[in-house]
Amino acid sequence: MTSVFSAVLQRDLTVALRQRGTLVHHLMFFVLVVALFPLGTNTDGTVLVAVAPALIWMGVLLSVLLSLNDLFKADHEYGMLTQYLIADEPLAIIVAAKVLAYWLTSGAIFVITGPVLVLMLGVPVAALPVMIAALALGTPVLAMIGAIGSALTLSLPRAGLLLSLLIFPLYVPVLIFGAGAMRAAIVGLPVAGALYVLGALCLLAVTLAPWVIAAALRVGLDT
Amino acid sequence: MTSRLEIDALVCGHAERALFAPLTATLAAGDIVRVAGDNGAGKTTLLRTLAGLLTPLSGTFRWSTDGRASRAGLGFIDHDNALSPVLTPVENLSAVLRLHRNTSGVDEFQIVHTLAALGLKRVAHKPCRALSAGQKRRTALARLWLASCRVWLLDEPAAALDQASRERLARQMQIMADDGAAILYSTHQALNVTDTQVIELSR
Repeated sequence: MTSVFSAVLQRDLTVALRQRGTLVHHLMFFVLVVALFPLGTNTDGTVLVAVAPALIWMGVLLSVLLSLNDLFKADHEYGMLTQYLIADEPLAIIVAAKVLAYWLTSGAIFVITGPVLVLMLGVPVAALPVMIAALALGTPVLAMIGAIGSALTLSLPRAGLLLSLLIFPLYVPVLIFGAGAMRAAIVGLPVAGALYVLGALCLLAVTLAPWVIAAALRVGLDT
Repeated sequence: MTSRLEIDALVCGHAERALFAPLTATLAAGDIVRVAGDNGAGKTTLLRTLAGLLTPLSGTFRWSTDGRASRAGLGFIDHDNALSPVLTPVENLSAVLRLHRNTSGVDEFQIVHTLAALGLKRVAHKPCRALSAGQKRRTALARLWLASCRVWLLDEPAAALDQASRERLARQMQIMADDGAAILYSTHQALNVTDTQVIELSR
């Protein structure tokens, strides 16, 4: 079971590293969304600090949405997904490895670059640890929930818009508590509550979502 | 002869539309069964249904390996080769083989050796997008040599293969059947194997 997990993880990471260009594009998109925002408003420091948490999370949501489309698509196109579906090991294990590889090449990048970008918006350095924690707990949830939507819309042509309609409402708790923790950290309020909720969401997503994704893949391809 | 698969009045199709008349057949160890039929007769649909990828419209089928009702040890090679264009044949094969319990121990040396025997030594470490259609097909078929599955479902294994590769494939199928594997395959090219049974799909 662990052998399959590591095999799929290793394979997907190798594929991602061979396509470094795509990784850089997603990172650039995230940076540009956050960097362009101040140009459209006044550059008053208090305004930017106030909207920074929301801005960072919207940037993350949009970037995740763009990259989610491809999560299962390539494997589906050249028939690897078929081999996953008939494998002796549980599909949920394979799917968990795939989403982990996806998170390492998308979510983890936001966890690293997000704090740098909020500094640019004038957020105090003291709030950075909470920002990193919120992103580290929130982005796995985004990846897991997004993978469910991606699996459900796999066999549909031009599923991008439908995918966003499907998963954005499910991202609301992460947005509220993720941005809430950041806001509280900026003004110096207690942040533990919001982070605990994010942690609980993260645990729930990591333990339950793989089974849902596996079921969604089976349903989506049985046509 | 131990029975590997029992098909009972199976009907497959898409969206409630049956593709062929109810099918009843048995597949035993050592059998090589050819599924025959025109384009669109439902050969691929039948194989995908038996692999558990599609739900049959009606009827049942039962896998049994060593007396237990399970489809563990099933190998399935369909039209798609399951090769990532950015990975090399060795990396692709190693990933696919590790999905199955009985082949997770196959190492890179064995894979390279098998690829060399199939005339793919030069491209074994090149990205698969640089390979020709026939070379990709041969890479996918290398699993027949590397994985010791007890049941093989092969959908058009000979597509895009040259004469020499077709003969090699036929010889390997015969060897696998002699070793006790059960093979269910479809083909439009003549393959020089002794079919124990032919399933004709008709409406």
